[in-house]
Amino acid sequence: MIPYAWLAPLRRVLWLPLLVIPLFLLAACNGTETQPETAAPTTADTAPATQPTAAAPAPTAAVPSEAPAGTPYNGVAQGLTAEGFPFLGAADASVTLTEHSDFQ
Amino acid sequence: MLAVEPEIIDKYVRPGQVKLVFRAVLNLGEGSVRAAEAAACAGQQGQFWQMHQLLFQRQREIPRGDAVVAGLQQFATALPGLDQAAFGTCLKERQTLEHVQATDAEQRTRGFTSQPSFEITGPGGTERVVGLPSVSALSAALDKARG
Repeated sequence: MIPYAWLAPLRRVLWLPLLVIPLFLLAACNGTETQPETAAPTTADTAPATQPTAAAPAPTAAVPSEAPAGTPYNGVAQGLTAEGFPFLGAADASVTLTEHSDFQ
Repeated sequence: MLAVEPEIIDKYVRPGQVKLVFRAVLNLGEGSVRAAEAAACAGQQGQFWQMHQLLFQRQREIPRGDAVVAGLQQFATALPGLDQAAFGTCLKERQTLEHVQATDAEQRTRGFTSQPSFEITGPGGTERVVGLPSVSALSAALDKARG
């Protein structure tokens, strides 16, 4: 028989594991959740850093290129005149139509 | 010009008979300047004509005052493949302003103060057309210039 006088201090600390264990589990769960959150911005930060360098604007293309699909200019050559003005069509066309206009 | 452009392109430009050149006129203050700069900035990335179309299509929506840069940047998001960051930098740093202003000043000395105006040069001579011509009138002038 264990004397009641011995049990009394034990009964006072028995509830402690019930409080500590859930706290420990909660802390462990939080630790695993934060890991991907910190990892994701790291990769995202490095990607845009290289993007502008790769896609830096080409200095005014003197060589005619073709306008992309989906515009009225689809398939029409475009480039810059010697003076730096944008043109559509063949660079050596016999006739030049120059439009002087305001975008506003 | 957008109204007659598709027909002129299909009839003359696409077959290689005519080269269509655009020069911006700055008649309407800061909005004109900023819009011309935006087109030139898009041109740095080979998308001048796409921006040209966009600006004329949404001409009435071009913001004024402090909102103009943000508004033009918003327009530019409609252009697939345009490097938006580079476009924004070009616009904010006003990288094309000097060219745009020089163009306007030069053509004013040659009498281009009304817009739109057209200059047609070819073996058959040079002709100026002031105002927006019909497709048939512009076609007649182009045929004459071809000689």
